[in-house]
Amino acid sequence: MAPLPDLSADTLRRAARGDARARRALVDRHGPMLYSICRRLSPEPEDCYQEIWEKVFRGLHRFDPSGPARLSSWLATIAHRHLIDRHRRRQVRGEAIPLGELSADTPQADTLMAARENHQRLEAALRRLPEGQRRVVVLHHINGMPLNKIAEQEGVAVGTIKSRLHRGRARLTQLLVREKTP
Amino acid sequence: MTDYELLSRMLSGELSRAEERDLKTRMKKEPQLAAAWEALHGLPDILAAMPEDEVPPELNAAVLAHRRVRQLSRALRLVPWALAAGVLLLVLGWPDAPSEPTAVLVEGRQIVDGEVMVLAGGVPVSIDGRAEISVEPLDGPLRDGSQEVNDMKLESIAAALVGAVVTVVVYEGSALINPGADAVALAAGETHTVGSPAPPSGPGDRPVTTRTSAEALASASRDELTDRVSELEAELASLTFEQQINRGRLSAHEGSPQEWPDDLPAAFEPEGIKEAVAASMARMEDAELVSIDCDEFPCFVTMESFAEGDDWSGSVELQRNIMTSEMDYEGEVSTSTWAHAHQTNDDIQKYVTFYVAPEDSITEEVSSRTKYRIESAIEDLVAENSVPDEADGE
Repeated sequence: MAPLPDLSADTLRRAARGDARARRALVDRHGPMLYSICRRLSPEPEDCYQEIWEKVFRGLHRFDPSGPARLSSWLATIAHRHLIDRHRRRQVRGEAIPLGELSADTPQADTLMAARENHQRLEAALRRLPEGQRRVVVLHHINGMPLNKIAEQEGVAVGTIKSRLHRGRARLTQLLVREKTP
Repeated sequence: MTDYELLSRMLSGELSRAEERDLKTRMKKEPQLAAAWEALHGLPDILAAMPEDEVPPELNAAVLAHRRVRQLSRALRLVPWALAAGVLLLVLGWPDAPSEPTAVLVEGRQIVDGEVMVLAGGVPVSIDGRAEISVEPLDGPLRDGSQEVNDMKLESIAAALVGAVVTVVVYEGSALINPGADAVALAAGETHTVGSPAPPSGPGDRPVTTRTSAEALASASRDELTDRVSELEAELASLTFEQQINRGRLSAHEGSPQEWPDDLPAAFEPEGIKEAVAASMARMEDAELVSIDCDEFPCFVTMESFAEGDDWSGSVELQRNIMTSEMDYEGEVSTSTWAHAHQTNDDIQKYVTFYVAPEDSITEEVSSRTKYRIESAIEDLVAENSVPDEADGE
């Protein structure tokens, strides 16, 4: 499927001013990316999604369409910051982690397409990563965020992010290889 | 470092030539390692091709209409924690400020992060940053911590908002107390105390008593709170880990000892938990078992983590998840984890504590009591392991 075109600067300006049609265009264009991030990285994806859009609408006037940053990168950065904030709050409070999804070891039906099967297995394996590692793997590999940008947002050294990336990829590989082994 | 991590570093080109050569030599002899490399090598492409999700239409409709969905259910999930902290906190819709998540703080003290609107003792406070809000009701404690919040009607909560002294301390960012004509704006480092307005008359199950002088009480509390703020500022300056910020302030509700449920599956009996923990310890690389406390229901497990970085509790949580998935139990499982870091002279002790139990066995009372047990155990551990500094003669 061909990538959707970027929204025009005029549409973004109108969206920043509260124009309903422009906001609809923005949500339609970038909602799936933000919702995917929330579903993969937040225990409360629906709340996460709504809260991120609230922040986007409040801060949209600060985004410069003629600047070097792409809108999708700017949105992903807002989502990332939001996730870090929520993660820290949960850590302090003692999080109740839902375990309903841990039974994802169920073998996939043979009839499924290989690519789809890969994706499903990967999604299940991703859910088993610790939150910090999962964030790095998803934002870097799925959303294309550079490691130094992730480090900057998380407030840690790039080496720490690389370390999380390696541990995350290692764990994913371990889970995938184990699944394949009869 | 595990072989898988070495492979990942090779994928990123971070190994030296010699290390890479050694690993490739091993891959020729070890089929498992070769299979792992094959899987890892294709991983970035598969991840990059992961499809995006379709957004549920009602969610986009809510976003564009600036109304929130699922607020109340999240509020109820917060209740056990709030009760354990001696705080009544509910997240509700707020008609005047639809764009911000809204919390109601009836009494107690709460650290607030991010952009949040809080109805604190009847006073609206808009936070953008990090602030501490405390609410001291004028008429003493409102309710027993074990009361079922789920059964409380909103009218009862509103009626409970009977006069209070509200203090806001801004640590980062800003706060706006009583947004509107009489708004008080606070910047980082500033503190403001207000007596709350008189409550609205209405239905409620709590008798309204004669109010004493709100100003006098507010003034008396201001001195106490000023002292408290100084203590907290000193404490904040010395803390390394964010987990410690709330720890000292959230005094747990002691509760009463809990009986073991009659119908508890064997996997959650002390022997079952001990066996499961023993099996997962074999996989644990950067943590050691400190204790399994089964004096009361539920058992809780304490581990000392030696992992570095800010995700130091991650590997224990991962093993806990794997352990739980391997237990001989098909039903829903409730689990909660606490991470505690304590800095001594030149050392940091890092403990991760968790429990697992059938979901329907963890009532608010059990949750509250367990938190108290865990806090006490950690305090004992820290005290036990704190070596006096000889140079100071302490």
